[in-house]
Amino acid sequence: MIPEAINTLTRWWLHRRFRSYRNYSAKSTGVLLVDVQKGLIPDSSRLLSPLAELVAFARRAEFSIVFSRFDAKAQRRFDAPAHHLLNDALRSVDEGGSIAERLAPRPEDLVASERPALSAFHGTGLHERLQERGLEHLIIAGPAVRITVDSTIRDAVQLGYHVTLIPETLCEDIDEDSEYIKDTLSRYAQSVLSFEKFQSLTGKAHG
Amino acid sequence: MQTGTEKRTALVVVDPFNDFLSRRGKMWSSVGASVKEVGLLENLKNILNAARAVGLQVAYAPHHRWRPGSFSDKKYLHPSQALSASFKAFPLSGFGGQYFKGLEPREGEIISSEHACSSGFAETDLHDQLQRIGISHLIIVGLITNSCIEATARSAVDLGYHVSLVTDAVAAFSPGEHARTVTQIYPLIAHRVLSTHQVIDGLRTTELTHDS
Repeated sequence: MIPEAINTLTRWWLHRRFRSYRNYSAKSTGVLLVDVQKGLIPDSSRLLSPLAELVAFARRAEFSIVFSRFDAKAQRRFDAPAHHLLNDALRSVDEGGSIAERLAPRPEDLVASERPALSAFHGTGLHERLQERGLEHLIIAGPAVRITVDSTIRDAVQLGYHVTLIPETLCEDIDEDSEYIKDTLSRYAQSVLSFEKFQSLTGKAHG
Repeated sequence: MQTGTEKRTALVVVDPFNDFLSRRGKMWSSVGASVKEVGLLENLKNILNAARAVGLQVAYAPHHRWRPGSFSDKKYLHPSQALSASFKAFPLSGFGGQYFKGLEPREGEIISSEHACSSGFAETDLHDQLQRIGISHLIIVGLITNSCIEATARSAVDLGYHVSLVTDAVAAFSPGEHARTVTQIYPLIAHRVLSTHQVIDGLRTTELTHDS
């Protein structure tokens, strides 16, 4: 029981420590959507609406919107189970690799080239392109949370971004109280906020 | 990665420092329960002995040792950096930042530059050092199950390595975190999930180090 108590205290301490980071200005904030592809978010997915709301909110707030897509055609020497799961899902429907229609990118959005890696930052030049736009705050969302979103979060924090997660916009079985968020994601992302809280911190986009 | 099909394995040992593994370490009060539950100290020693006995390449991936001014150039700290800056974890000149007795690197073994966050590959020379000698396969052990070990494994997978993780040669900040990670996450991202017993048997029979 002692380790759990220490971990709870640590989360609370970090949460307070990073409050000052939540300065989401239009210029410096981007929403990074990882693998919001048809094969991974079917029309029936409960994740689609929260993601569409996040995108709509981000457009009103004039945040950058960034898309990264997994490439189901990529060859590698050693496929891990994660690669098989992604490949199977993306190939399971027609055009499974294209972005879900409800989340369709607009010309001003940044759509990174398809990638063979789990992390959106690996070998894609994404970091440089985000730097060119002056982004410091990233809201990272997407369906494959334990596979590609997790790898992307770890790399983003490592690269010096302030990372915010909104549990509603991650995998369907995740919420703020999920053990996976407490165990692992909150050890990486500096801010884990409900969508409501995030909106309230972003004054300009209100209403 | 090298282009051939030659298989060459390294054992990567992450962060076997006193602050995690000693009863006097700063993080023992949270990590200790998991370390004891999996039998980490004995398992790490046994894997290292078995690896050295068969001449397997051993590589250490050490965490950043805290020193005055650490991370002061960063605008947004990684949570582990914020904790480290406040609690002076793994001090450069102190007990906590030293290798735990019996788990120190030996002469001829690789020691990479220090990782500042959690992946042993991020902004370090680990990949270069492993590539220089044609390593294609990694067995990754040490601490912490769902942070440095998992982050190092995720980087390794993206860099093209074949990755084996060992469920009782790693430990976490609580037994529950450890158990959930090795059962729910490791089977997704690792090419192979093994026990210490399986690693040692595999090294003895060369099953882990030869052919594919």
